[in-house]
Amino acid sequence: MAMAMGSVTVRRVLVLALLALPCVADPPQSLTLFPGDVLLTGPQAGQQLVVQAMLGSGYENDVTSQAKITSRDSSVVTIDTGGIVRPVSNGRTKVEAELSGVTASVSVEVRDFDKPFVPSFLNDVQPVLTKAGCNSGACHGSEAGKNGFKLSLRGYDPEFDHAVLTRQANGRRVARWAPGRSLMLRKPTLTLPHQGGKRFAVESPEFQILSEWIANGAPAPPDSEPVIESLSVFPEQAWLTAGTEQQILVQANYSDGTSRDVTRWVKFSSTDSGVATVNDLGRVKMQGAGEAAITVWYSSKVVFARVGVPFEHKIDPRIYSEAPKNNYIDELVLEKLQALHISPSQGVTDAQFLRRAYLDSMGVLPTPDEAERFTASKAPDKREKLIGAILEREEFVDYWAYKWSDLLLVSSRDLAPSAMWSYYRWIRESVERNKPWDQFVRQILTATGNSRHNGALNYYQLHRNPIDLAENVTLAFMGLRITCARCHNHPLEKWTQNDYYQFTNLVSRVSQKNGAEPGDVVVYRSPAGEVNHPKLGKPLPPRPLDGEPLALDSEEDRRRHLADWLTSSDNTAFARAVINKIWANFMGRGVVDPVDDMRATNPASNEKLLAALTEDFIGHQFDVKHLIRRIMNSATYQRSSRTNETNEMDGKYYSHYIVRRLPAEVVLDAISQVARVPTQFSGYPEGTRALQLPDTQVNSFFLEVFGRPPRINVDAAEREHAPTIKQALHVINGDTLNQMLRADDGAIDMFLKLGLSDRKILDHLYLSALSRYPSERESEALLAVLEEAEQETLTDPLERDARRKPLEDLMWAMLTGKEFLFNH
Amino acid sequence: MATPYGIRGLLGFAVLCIAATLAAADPSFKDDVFSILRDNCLACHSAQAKMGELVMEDYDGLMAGGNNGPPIVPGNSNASLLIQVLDGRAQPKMPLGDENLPPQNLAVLKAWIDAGAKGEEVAAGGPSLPTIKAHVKVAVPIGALAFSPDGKHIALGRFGQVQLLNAGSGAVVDTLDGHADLVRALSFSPDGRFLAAAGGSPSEFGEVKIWNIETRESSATIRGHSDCIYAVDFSSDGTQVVTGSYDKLIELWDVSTGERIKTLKDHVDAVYAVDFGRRGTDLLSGAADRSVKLWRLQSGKPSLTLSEPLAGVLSAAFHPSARRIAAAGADKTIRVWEITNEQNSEARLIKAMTGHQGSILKIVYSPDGKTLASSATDRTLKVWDSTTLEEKHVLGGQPDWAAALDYSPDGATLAVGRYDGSVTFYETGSYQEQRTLWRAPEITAAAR
Repeated sequence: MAMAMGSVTVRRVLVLALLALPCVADPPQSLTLFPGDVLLTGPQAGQQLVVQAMLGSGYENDVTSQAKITSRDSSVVTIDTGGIVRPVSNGRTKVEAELSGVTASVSVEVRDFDKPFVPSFLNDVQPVLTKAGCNSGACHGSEAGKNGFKLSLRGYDPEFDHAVLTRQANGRRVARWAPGRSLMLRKPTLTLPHQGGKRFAVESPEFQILSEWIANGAPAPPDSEPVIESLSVFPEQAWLTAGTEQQILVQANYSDGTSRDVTRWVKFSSTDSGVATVNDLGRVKMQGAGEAAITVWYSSKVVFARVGVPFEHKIDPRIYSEAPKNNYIDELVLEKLQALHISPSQGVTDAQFLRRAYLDSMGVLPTPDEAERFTASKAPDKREKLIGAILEREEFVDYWAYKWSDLLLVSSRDLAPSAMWSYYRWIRESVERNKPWDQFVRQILTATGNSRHNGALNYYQLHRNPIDLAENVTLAFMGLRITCARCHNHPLEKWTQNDYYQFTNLVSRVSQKNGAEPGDVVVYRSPAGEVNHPKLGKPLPPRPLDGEPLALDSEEDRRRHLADWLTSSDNTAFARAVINKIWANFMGRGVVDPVDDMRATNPASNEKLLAALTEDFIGHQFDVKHLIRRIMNSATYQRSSRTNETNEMDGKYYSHYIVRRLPAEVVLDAISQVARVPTQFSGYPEGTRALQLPDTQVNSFFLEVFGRPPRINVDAAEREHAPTIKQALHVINGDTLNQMLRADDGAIDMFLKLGLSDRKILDHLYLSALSRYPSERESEALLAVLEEAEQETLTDPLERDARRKPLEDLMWAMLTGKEFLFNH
Repeated sequence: MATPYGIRGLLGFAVLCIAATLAAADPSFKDDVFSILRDNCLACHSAQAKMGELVMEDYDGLMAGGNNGPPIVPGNSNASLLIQVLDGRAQPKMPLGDENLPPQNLAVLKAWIDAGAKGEEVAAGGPSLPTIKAHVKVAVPIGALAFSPDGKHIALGRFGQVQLLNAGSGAVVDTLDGHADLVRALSFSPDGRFLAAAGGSPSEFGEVKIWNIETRESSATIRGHSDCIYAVDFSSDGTQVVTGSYDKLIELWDVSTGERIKTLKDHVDAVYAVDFGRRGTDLLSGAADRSVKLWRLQSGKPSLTLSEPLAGVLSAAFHPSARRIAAAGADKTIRVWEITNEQNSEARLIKAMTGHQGSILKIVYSPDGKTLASSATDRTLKVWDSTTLEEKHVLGGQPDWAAALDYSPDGATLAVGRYDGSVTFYETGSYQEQRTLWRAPEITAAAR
């Protein structure tokens, strides 16, 4: 007791000391000066430096305010307080940083110091307007503008904005002949009343840029204006300690090869404000344990920096070194867990693994026989063998055909029954043959002919125009939502309106006509057809999002060009989207979450893992079964859902199996399976399981209540996962379960006909519903209850079989229990 | 450890108290009160936004109050509505939003009211910007352009002045100075003796100066509106001018006294065009609210609203017959309506033509009414048959936007004034360029 008290006190003192004097308690091993070597172009240039210390503990710390930063030649550059390098004259020199005897240096070059600074509309003025919020959706960037003054949303249309500012309404906003009279300066400084309030002060850099631009005649950007090509962020990744602050630096890189500090003009946001918050100037404050991405948006470019604080747990490194590693997945997951100080859960039992593996990959329960045999087997590779066997099962094909039918929106809602069937059969056959994913998608995108003979063509019945096609292709196969860019540059992502209409033009030459039979269509390539860019009023050369354009007059098949790009091994976004879906199917959460939101500003919880899975998947020719085998064989997948005190709050680093409710179709089939009573679906032969239905229009109250997706939009959220009261009520009181329990020829009927003992029945029920035997305690208690109930019912003269009612109750209790309805 | 911080904290508090006391000792409207109102209230209670009809831009407006009566009871801050809405005793709580007025500001306002709420003149608009010197020579745009009825002169609207040119030689014969800002609209009286030159300061006020062309002296300076004026026209009898402003209002003024006769309030966005017809009873207006209106001068109410335009109307004019109207604007379309009754309450659209690839800035009828000229942001001028809207001439390659356009009274010349300060005269036989004054190069930035 005294020992424990002592150590707590010591720790508290240490923590205090760390807070007060981080660098003394944890001296820097080395220093890094961000952003590295600096080129300052023009007299107005400046570069914020960040001195990053690598500490002995393995963490990093922004020590810019403590370090001594000096210019070796102050006739070339000087250092402002706060660590900003300012030019003094043209030349080269070095800047050094020193802390506790550790140093770092970068070289600095100043050019064009003698050239006057003329702010560029594109690269200076627009960023000011965007950062100050002038062109935001709530202000002058809104569809109607404000007070008759409308700018393009976040400055996506510089030409329009320049005209509005300088010329519209007879030059009321910019008076280049009398700069100080410009409303553009008087309103945002509140020199005149402004409904949008004060946006910046007269002394601010914002004001300086705008006023200098006006004083220089408010010039439009010349054609030779350098355009931004990319952003660099510093640091890209850092492990920090809680409570510390970190300055993020952002550099814009231009087409003329120059770079500059644009940190002040960036829009910052944090993906997890519980872990890190970030202010307007890129100063990050670490709030709590975990990892967060700081996203950086500037001029329609997006990057992010990752910052993290490990949890406070002390974990023996041997836990990681000795944890089972069946393949690279385990290595990469453990690496992340170790960095965060999270301890993985124990491995799962054979019985639980079996049930989990069946449900996740096939949507069926193991039979009592399978459960008994698997748990009894002593073979060391029995899990691997089981996985191999699962991949060859018919139920596996049903399950994945159903999954991809969700994605491709197979439904008789918009398709004739014959078309729906041909679409479904094409998908099912593709799964059966384990068609590589790239070929699967390529066949959809490049298909021509009659939809009766080629089911894939029904995709074009569902998506009839180029806009719909373009948006569906990007969402279904890449997890990207580009719809915003239909009307204006995407406000948060890098997609521009030009990107959108170039992409859309790839699918502008698909035509269709009715086939010979009702419900059939013939899809063919039309020789002409363009989608006009609405602002430019003309078509743009067809170009995949990040790919090479085709000439407008090219004879090449545009859809083939699209498919070539989409499925090429260079376009990792294609593989990542489907990998994330498959991973989420087994692990309960995508590495990227939500599972179909793969935009650049929504980073993966473990990027290295996703990258490795992608390499593996592409390296194995988009083999879906290979990927599933890899995931199921990992020790990560085979972890218990039981948490320890270090990982109970973890929902995204895969330190334990994530418990989740079974999907609608799986629950219904499982109840059916245990009760040995098939569900009747109208229009389908007896014995058809819910997962074998090609169509979500099939009437089933149960499936609807449990969240079967309507297959109207490509959207993972269409499938409801949340448990609801309605579900509970339906299971408890509704027809579905109760009718099955009472059915003739059902499980209970069979038990009674066979004259099985209560104990045998109990074992059988446990094995079939939960894939395990009842525990001693469960057996004892339940057998006693059963016996008592049987005695009671005996006295009821109306009851035809004294044992039946209690057994029905027992089964009811098991099939409404959490252990049954959830996968764990 | 705790003691020094405690002391510092107490000291800080004491300093705050002293500061508050000092500020509150003898606050003046000009030095203390106005800046608080400006920074916290004027966004909504400006002459332009005028929420609750309360305008706090100056002392008189504040004391007069709005829909809820005078907000100040001199000598009694506790009973003053202004203080009650600020401290939450009365609704709506002010300033709107989550933030309260800082307590030290509230203290200043209370002290000022309790000391009698005395006022002084305050220059509207608050602090001015530092002087910003232009680094490059830029031309002042031609904000407006008008031929005198005798055809001898052309007036050009410039920054702070009107230039009077000899229409024949193009020589500047005089400048009429003293305007507050860019002159954005011009109109000669029908007898040619007077020129109304309108403009004013954007977001502050509108201004019209009436110039005597013979003496070159200003006979009246009218100040009105809460934003600058974009359109002005003399009535046919020369006794009134009508003005249209960015503040959405149309106002009628007595030329001899400079007094406001009437305010016409029905547009919901900036008014860019006003035109008196020849009969003296006709008045039309065009506005950014996508409408053209005809007005009954007696009642000050519109007799007809034409709402076919799909975007803001930037220019509108009566045909010389006063029985037709043409309008054009941001939907790139020229429309012509025919008025079908004497009360100007019925009209039908007889022609609509997408005339340009950009917003149409200005349209003008030739004096004989047979042709119509238009200028647009696509940097073209076009000449149309005014009835069929058949395109007669395209004058492409305009060096900049042309917001000023007028025919000479004999119809022989079309003059164009542009944003870049240039003025070009076209002869109207074949629309060849006759002469260009102040041809200017377009300014672009040197490569970064």
